[in-house]
Amino acid sequence: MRFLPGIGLGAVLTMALLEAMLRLMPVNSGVSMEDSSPAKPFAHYLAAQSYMVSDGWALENARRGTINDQGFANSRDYRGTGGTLVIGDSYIQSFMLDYGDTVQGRLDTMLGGNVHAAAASGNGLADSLRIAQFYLPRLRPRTVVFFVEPFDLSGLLDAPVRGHNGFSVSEGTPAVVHNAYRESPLKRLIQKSALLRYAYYNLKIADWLSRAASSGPAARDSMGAASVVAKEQVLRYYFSQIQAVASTEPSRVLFLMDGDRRAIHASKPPRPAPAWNDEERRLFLRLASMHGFEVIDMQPVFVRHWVRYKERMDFLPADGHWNRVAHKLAAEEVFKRLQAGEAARQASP
Amino acid sequence: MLFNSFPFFLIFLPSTLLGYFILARFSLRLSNLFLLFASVLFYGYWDAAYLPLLLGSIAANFVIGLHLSREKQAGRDSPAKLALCLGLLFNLGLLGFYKYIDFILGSLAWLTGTDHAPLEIRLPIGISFFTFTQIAYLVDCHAARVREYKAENYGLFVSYFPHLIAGPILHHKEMMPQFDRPDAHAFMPGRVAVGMMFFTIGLFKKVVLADGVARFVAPVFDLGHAQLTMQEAWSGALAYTFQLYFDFSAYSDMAYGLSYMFGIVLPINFNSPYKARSIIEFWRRWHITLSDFLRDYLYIPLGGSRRGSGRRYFNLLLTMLLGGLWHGANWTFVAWGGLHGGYLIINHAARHLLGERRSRVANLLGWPCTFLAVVVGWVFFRASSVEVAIEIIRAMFWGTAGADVGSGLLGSNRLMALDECALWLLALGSIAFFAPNAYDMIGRARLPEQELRYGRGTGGVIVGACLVLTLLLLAISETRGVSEFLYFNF
Repeated sequence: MRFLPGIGLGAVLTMALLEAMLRLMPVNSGVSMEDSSPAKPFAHYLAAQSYMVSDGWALENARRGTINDQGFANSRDYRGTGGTLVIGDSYIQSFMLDYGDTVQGRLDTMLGGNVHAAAASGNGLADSLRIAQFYLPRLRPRTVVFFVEPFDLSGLLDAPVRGHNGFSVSEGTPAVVHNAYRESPLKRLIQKSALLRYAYYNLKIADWLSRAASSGPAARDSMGAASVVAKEQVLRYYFSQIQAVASTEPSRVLFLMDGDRRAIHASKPPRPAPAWNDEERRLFLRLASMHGFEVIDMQPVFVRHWVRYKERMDFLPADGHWNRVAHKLAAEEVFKRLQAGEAARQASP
Repeated sequence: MLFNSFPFFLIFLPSTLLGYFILARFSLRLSNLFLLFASVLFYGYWDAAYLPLLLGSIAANFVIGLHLSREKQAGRDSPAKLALCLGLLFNLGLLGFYKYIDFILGSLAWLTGTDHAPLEIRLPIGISFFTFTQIAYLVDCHAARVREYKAENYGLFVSYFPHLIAGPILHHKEMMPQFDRPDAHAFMPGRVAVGMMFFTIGLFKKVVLADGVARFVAPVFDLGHAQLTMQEAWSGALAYTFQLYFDFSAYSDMAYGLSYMFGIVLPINFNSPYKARSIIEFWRRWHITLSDFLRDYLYIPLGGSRRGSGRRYFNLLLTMLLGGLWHGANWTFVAWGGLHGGYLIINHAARHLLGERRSRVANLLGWPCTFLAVVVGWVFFRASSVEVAIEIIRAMFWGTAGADVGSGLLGSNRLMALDECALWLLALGSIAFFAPNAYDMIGRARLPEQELRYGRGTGGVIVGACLVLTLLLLAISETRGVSEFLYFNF
């Protein structure tokens, strides 16, 4: 055999070997999403599908699971009314944790069941509003917990990516706009090969290519004067819409705010860049309080836990999502707040 | 440009190979000039701001070397010595300014209790390597050991891209003759196959092994060093021990393989150092070309072992202190060098007492004692300050964690996944201690038999396999965020 044909043969044999090896390993299976529609305008997966997820090149945190009947991970099928609904993004979706270790899983145990979650990766406040507007009339939960993290505020005015919602402000009037999702046939093709799934889902090569093709990292919102005005308009609109939908059921609304874990974990200078924009955070807290919503701020809770146990609350530096410690602390805080509310309700004449 | 990046592998390497071999059909000199140009481009792509520094340093040293050799050949010793002194002053001055000025001024300020605002001069990449390479050249010119004075060959010898950033520290007598060998400029598929094997093995070590275990280092050295359990401190120290090992081993293999594709054989710089049974042997296996440089151009000129035991030990200590300082302007490197100087003194003294005979006990204890000593040394090497290093070493032997630490939800995994780290350490230890290295597997020096054997279909299959594996490893590296080689910092 000659040298050049040998190269082709060597390449094919190696790819076949890699495909066989990866088929035996916990490569991310990819979770198929359902096309979004005007009737259900938010990101959700195809219901009742089994999946395997693992993180990064080393297939870390491998976990199997099943999507619930509404197209959400780490949630029981939706049954009954009058329970608790946790709405959020990838932090609540928690592919990297078992159900029992998530906020909703722990609350489910603490409250004796009837806790559900509606969360998808990349969700922002506009998505949480759409989810609330869809599910509150159907589930009529007694409590709704909205998870809020820094990007929800810094990216408040960003155009929505496929499958998600965003806010637009036209002549001072905010509105929610949806960017429809259609599953690409290419994704179905990718799911047939372990090597392709590894490249696409574990290495996230498509994301890397689009980052490499763009001129550089997206400029962070600097919270300029125009931005402040627009964000305040949007947040006022958001809270008033939540108020409207929650009051018809009626549901008690809690906002669960993430802390700046990177700063907490850094024991000495150089301090990392703050996760939250202080001005945005203050604005959110002020408007939430103005609309009569309760906010659970996880920052002091995380600080206390770190000081005592020196125990990390995420998967950093690989992954900034909450680990089971942060979920447990959050569930305990929510539970305490619910108990206090219940006690106050019983004590009132 | 990093070896472990797509632009290097998909654009720079193929075009440089192509240009080098095509031009060689017309003229070897043209081919060398092209390789010199590509090497300068490689450096400029990285840091164009320091390109004039590199080129100026090469030009100045070449002129000084030429003048020095002429004076020497004419029997004029004093002007030759003066030229050597000027050359050394020039090189050490550059290195001192760019690498040590803040360290020196900061230390003086600390001693005198005054304030010092750092000048924050950015370290030109590879300066330690190209400076030492050229100091050796000037000393050899003075000793009349230099035989060749082609400007383009000298430029290529210093700037040759596989070694420019992180070594090996080349010696002119090993390199200059290779540039003019016609067979080095002839394209041979088997040679590419051999080079690709070294490159792929090195890339695997970097992307999977070194970068894989790296995540267990920072939580101990940067985050939790003030309060650590013994298990955490040992895990962090061992993780760094293997990270540095596989990182440097990876660079050495990749540089060797890349150069082999061009028909130029680099000296072996890394030879399974954790298999060493003594510190003396360790330094014959770790960064071999730096050890040789320190021996030939510092330890021996200081007097070596010629003036009695006391002077010998002093020379050893001084050589290792300066060797430590070569790695970086920080007291941690001085401490590391001092520690190794101490180890070498103990090792030589023990040999002096016991003679060269190896008892069973010495054989049995030599390896673990050497490895333990090296691990403790690496704590200083990695720590951000001597205080942090001492905190970690204290934790390694006594533990420094508070009462509640470890009693949270994650237990012993509170800082990082220690159980996972243990598996990594076990796997990496097994490879470092027991597996053959790339040179054992493929061969050392020029390998004409393998080049011939791999020049046909088998070689093609090897190249095809290496290409797929390399592309996969590069995809991992790029999507995760390309990490520099640790020795780039020195």
